[in-house]
Amino acid sequence: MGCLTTRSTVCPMTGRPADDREARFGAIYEAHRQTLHAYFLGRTGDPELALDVLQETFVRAWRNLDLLLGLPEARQRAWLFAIGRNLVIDQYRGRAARTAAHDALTVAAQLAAPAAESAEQVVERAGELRLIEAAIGRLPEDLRTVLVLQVLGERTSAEIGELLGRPAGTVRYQLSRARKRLAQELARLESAPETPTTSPRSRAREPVRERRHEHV
Amino acid sequence: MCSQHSEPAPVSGRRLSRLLARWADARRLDARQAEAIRQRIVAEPPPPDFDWWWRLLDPAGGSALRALPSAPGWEAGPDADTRLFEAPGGLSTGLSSWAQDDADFRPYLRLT
Repeated sequence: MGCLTTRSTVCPMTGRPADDREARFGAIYEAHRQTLHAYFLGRTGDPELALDVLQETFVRAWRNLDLLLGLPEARQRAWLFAIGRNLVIDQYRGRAARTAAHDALTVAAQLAAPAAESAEQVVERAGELRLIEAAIGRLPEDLRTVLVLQVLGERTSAEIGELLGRPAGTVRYQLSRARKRLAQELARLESAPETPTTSPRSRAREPVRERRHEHV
Repeated sequence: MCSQHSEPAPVSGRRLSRLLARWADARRLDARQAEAIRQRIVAEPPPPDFDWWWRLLDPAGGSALRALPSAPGWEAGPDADTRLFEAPGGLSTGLSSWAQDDADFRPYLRLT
C-alpha cells in the first residue's frame, strides 16, 4: 500500500513545508492572541463577539502569512491590530451571520467551578462574576478597553499606550478613572433591587449587551 | 427617602482588584481553548482566488504563460480559419487557444 498524504505538504509560493508554515503561524498566534483577545473584549464588551473577531483576525493572518512573516514583530502586531480594528468596526455595523468560536467555547465551561467548591460557593462565585462583568460592560468603551488590556491582556500602561496610540500618562489616568467608575458601578449593582446574582448562567451576558447598545 | 437616592459607597480597591483578577481568570483563554481556535484557523481553506491566480500566473507552467507559445501561429501567424482578431501590437489570438476546455483557462476569459 502506498503511503499517500492527502494534504499538500509544500506551499507553492514559498516552497516551505506546510508544517513549517503552521509552526510559524502558531508562534505569531501565541505571541499576540492574549493581547488581541483583551483588546476585542474591551472594545466590544461582548465575550462571544470578541472570540469571533479574534478568530477572524487570525484567519486573515493565516491567509497572509507570507506577508506577515516578512515583517518584524512590532509591525506584525500593528498589522494584526489594524485588521482587528477594522473587523470590530465591521461587527458594529452588522454582526456577521457566521457562527464562530463560541460554539465550542462556552462561558459555562469557564464558569464551571472546581470540584472542591460547595454549591453555595459556586453560586456566590458565579454571581460575583456576573456582577463584575455587568459593571465592566457599563464602562465607556475607551475606559473599558484600557482596563481589559491591563487586567486580561496583562499589558503595562506604556504598552497599552503604544497599542492604542495614546501617551502612557493618558492611559494611567484612564485606568484610574476606569477603576473608580467600576467601583461605583459595582456598588450600584449590588445595592440595586434586581442584582443579577440569582439569575441562571444564561443571563450572564445580558447586561453587557444592553449597555453596549447604549454606548453605540 | 433621601437615603434611597444617595449613592452607595464604592467597593474597596482591594475587593475590586480581587474581582477583576477572578473575572480575568474566567475570561482568559486556556491552552485548550486557544488550541481549538488555532486548529479551526489553520483548517480554513486558502483564499478562493489564490489557487486560481497561482495556476494562471505560475512562471513554471501557469495557464496564461502556457497558452501563449502553444497558440497556433504564434511565430508563423495565426491560421486564418481560427483567427478572431489581431491586437494592434501584432499579438495574434487564435480561436483554438481561447476555446480550450481547460478549467484553469475559463476564469481568464471572464475577466477579459
